Amino acid sequence: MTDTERADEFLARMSDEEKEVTVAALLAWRKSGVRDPQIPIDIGDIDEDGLADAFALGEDDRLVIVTATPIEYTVSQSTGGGLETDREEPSDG
Amino acid sequence: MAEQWVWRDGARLTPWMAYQIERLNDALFRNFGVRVIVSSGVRLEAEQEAIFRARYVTAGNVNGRRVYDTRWWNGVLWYRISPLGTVAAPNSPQANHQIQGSNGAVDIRDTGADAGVMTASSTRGRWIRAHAAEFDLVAEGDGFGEGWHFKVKNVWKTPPSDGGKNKEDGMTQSILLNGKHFYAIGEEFISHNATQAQADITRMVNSATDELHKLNTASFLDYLDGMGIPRNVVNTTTGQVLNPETGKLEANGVWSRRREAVAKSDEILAILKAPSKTGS
Repeated sequence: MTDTERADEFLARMSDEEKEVTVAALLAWRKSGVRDPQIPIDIGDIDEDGLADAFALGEDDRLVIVTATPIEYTVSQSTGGGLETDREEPSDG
Repeated sequence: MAEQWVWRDGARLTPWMAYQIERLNDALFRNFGVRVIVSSGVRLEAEQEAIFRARYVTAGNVNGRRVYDTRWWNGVLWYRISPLGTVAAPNSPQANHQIQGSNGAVDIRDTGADAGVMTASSTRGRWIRAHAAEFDLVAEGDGFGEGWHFKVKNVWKTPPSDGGKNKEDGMTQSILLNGKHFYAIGEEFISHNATQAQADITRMVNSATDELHKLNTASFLDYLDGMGIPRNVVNTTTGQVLNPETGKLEANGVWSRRREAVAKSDEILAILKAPSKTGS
């Protein structure tokens, strides 16, 4: 599967609501100062290459997929040190 | 193989994982005077799901919050709204805190004062990354900004019959600081040995392996932090240790949290017993 085919498959799997929420999240990052925000998809360095696919904004702020982007280029943050004691976040019930 | 778990720092491990962590613990202590703490080990499916649900919500529940990453789970996209860290979807290929074949994962830190093993940019962090393979570890988390996350290989292997347990655990350790000052150190306890003969007999009686750990000042101070000993109870130049009863640094001085508490309670009792000056 080519990168383009993989990107198309991601977008085809998403509902309209998911696309809308994802674009809104990217625009919020841009508004907060991240010029070209990327939100990673399914982080997990199984092949130990430090890369992930990510959502980004294309022309006219259309939702696009960036394949194999370095995770440090994305908006992913990890401040918890691996501790599991963060249950204060609301669950999705 | 039937599942058999070992608990360390409240985290679930296989015997092999525990064995390798204990070996790592010993090596880090020998080299840097710090201990390993396991923040997270093997997770059962329900535990993985609970952590996942604590950090991720579906599209209809984002409600304008910041999104740090996304994951597919059960056919829908989930959005991470917690900055604390990424969590793999339960039973997904990325979920290696749930054991995947012969691979598992641990999140670890150490007892030093800085980020230590959790970052590739520190001395201890560089050391553990250079030696990871010796402990069946892979610094997998570096690939996604979580330097505390290590893959553990061969998790179902059987450890040696002694279980890799450090026989010195629970005893005091013998420390030689900068080649000059001898100490016996335990949790919230430090005793200065003014002579080598005193240090030798203390080590022979207290230490199962009779090992003398040689530390420089920086490692020694890190070790004090890890053992809950305030740095200001030791003078690393003269070697003297605070005697809580006299309030002075002394050769052969012994400081412990208990002695400190007793000294403070004596002070309080003396104040309470003193005649009142109000005359009422």
